[in-house]
Amino acid sequence: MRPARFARPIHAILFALLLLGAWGCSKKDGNILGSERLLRGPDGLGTTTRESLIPDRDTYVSPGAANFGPRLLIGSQGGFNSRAFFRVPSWTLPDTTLPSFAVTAIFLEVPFDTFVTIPLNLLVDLATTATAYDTLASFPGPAPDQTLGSVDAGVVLPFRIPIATSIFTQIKGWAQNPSSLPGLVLYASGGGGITGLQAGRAVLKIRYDHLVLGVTVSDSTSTAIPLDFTLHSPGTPAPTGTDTTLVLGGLFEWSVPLHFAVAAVASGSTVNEATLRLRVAPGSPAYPTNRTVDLEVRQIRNAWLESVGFVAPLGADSTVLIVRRQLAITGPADSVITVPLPQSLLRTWTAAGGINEGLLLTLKNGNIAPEILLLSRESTNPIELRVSITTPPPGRF
Amino acid sequence: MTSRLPVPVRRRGMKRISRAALAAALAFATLMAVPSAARAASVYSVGGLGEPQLDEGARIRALGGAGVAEFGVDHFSQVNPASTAGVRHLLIQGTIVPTYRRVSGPGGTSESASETEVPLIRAVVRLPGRFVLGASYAIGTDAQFQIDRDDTAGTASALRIEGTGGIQLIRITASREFGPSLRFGIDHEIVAGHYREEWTRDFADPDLATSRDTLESRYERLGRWRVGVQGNLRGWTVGGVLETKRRLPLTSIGRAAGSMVTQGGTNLIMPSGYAVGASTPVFSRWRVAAQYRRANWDRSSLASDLVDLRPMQRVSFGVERLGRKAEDGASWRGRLPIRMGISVLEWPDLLPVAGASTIAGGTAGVKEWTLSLGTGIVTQDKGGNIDFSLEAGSRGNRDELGVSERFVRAAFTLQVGDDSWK
Repeated sequence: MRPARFARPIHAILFALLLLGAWGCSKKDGNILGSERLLRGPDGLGTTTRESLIPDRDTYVSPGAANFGPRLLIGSQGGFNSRAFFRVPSWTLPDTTLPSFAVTAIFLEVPFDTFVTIPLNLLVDLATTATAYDTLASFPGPAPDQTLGSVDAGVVLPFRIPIATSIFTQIKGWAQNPSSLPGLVLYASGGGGITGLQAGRAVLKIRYDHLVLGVTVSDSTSTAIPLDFTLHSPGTPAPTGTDTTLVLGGLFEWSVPLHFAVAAVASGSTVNEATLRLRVAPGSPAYPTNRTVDLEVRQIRNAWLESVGFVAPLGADSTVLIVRRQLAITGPADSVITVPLPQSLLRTWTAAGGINEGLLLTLKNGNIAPEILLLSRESTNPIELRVSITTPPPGRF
Repeated sequence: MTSRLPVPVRRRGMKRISRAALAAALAFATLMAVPSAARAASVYSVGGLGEPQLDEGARIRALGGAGVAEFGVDHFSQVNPASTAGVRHLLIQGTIVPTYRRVSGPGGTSESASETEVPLIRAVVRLPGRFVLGASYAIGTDAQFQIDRDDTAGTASALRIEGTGGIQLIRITASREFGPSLRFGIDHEIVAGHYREEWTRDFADPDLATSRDTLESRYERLGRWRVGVQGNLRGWTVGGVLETKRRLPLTSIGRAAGSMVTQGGTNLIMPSGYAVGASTPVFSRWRVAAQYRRANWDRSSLASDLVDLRPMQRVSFGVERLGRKAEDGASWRGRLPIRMGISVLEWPDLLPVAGASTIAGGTAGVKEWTLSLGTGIVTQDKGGNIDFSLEAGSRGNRDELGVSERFVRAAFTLQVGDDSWK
């Protein structure tokens, strides 16, 4: 067999052309040397600068309002004192015309909240309130009027307060006219410590006997009490405005407002980073094992001073800006909490007509864990907002 | 007058596309399917107007681009609208150009790259009254590039910049013969396209989000006129083209996350220009063609600190040995023409010299030398042809511009006429 060969040079050239055609896609090998020709003026190709801002205002504030969270706290610990209030919108009563009807027991029952330690010697009273159920009330809220029952919170499971059967007559009156019962309150009447109950789960049960075909039968009715809230005493110690630590969360559910004086973002620049770096004070208590909270950040809309005291005057958004989930302080390793903020926030703050009144930090359900102590702007290692901005690259021409 | 090929024999009875035409069409379609994102142009296309493209088919490319005096019943040049006047039927032509480049940088470093470009698609059709109408899409300059570089200004980052676009041209052509020796043509040339760059800046620090900027330079799509003429005189064919000037309002747009900056008030002025050339037979099977083409770019064409402009000039010279005719009993090899050419191109861009950041630090131009060699075949149905060219050359001066470039590229042109499917 003869070896293949090109009859003429032109055939070899044509063959080479076909090979060239088989290249197809680019290999993109020449990506580096091309930068030798990337000449775009004396300002370079755009520069990324990182800046750390410390707050020009910071403090911590108390909710100062009813807590409609998932748990009701009753009791006292240190300067903390808390009560739970209820309202019964409608009642479910037994049929009192049944043969040989007799009420045998009445009690208020609420499941415990497992996140809060149950005290052994906390005496909790159930009472009617002297004034109407008021969700806008501040601590101590409507005062107790008629005591309906009492229990040692650590004795029984679930939490149950017996009520004298003689009260049934009053209950019938409340059932006929629900507004005649201003409200109910659970409060600590003795002992110490705090108990936590599950909000929205309270039930008032009435047990009774009656005859069916000559036989005594026991039965019960349950009245759900869906409306409740907790009021607690104002936080102590109150912030002074010059504290070196800021308190976040804890039983008092402290929130931390912060304000940073942010410079305007130049048009065309890119915000690469807007990160809150919350430095935890060395003495901040460690969380129990497997206990975490969610840190919520909201924008503040109203002007405020460090003497603000409460959350409400801040006018914080109801919408959460960002959430740092499953946060826990387990020891010295957790010395910095980083919260990446939306990069668009800086533009929002500094745009024409934009409002920068800062951020409000809140721990969702923070009362299930110890407070977090953050280092304030008065400390030597304060909270910072780290901002990185890249100036725009120059145009081709 | 070139008369190397007879008027194609019209095989009206032929209902099927020949195998050769089918295979060529398939190959061409495959190459056309190359993703455009995989393309890049010269290393100098990072700045300025981009790499000037030779918007000609492989036949003219093999002659160094000397096409202003070319004409025929089945071929034409892009540079001269009058060259289409001799077309007798419908012709559709497309060209694809794969290129291999070797870039030499400072200290003897070098890199290679390859890309595929489609610089030209054209269709022309003969109308009653000896008029010929055509439309084409051509690439004027190619500003595609990709760069990876580390940037240490401020926080350290890694930059990737991908540039696309350039000047693209959409031409509507009308031409007419006036007797056997005179042809006129006119193009309405719409200057389209834009320049676009995607800048991506990544950081080693995961706390820093990636920067993504889009820079665009857009100009209004406006048209200008090109008028061409060809005449035959004592065995010579002479051609000339005049191009008019057009001001294109230019807008620069910069986009980043949450920000858009628009700047206007400047212009890109497509300059006037001209091309002149001639061709003539020299021996029984040999002919030569030459052309000079100039576009009068200058400093006023584009206000920029990053590029100065000078007239773009291309000098082209080509030699063709015609193939023997089949009627003379030549084998298929003997029927192959051989074309050779040389061209010298001065880019319009005067770019900042190496080490300078603007033209204030000095400029240097890009000169490009190209040698070309090619051939072509006529499809069996005589309705179309396939042309090839192989081009090799170099451009730029490493001492002045920091990098230089050598390249090898091939051009494949498939042209089909209505005879192919009749």
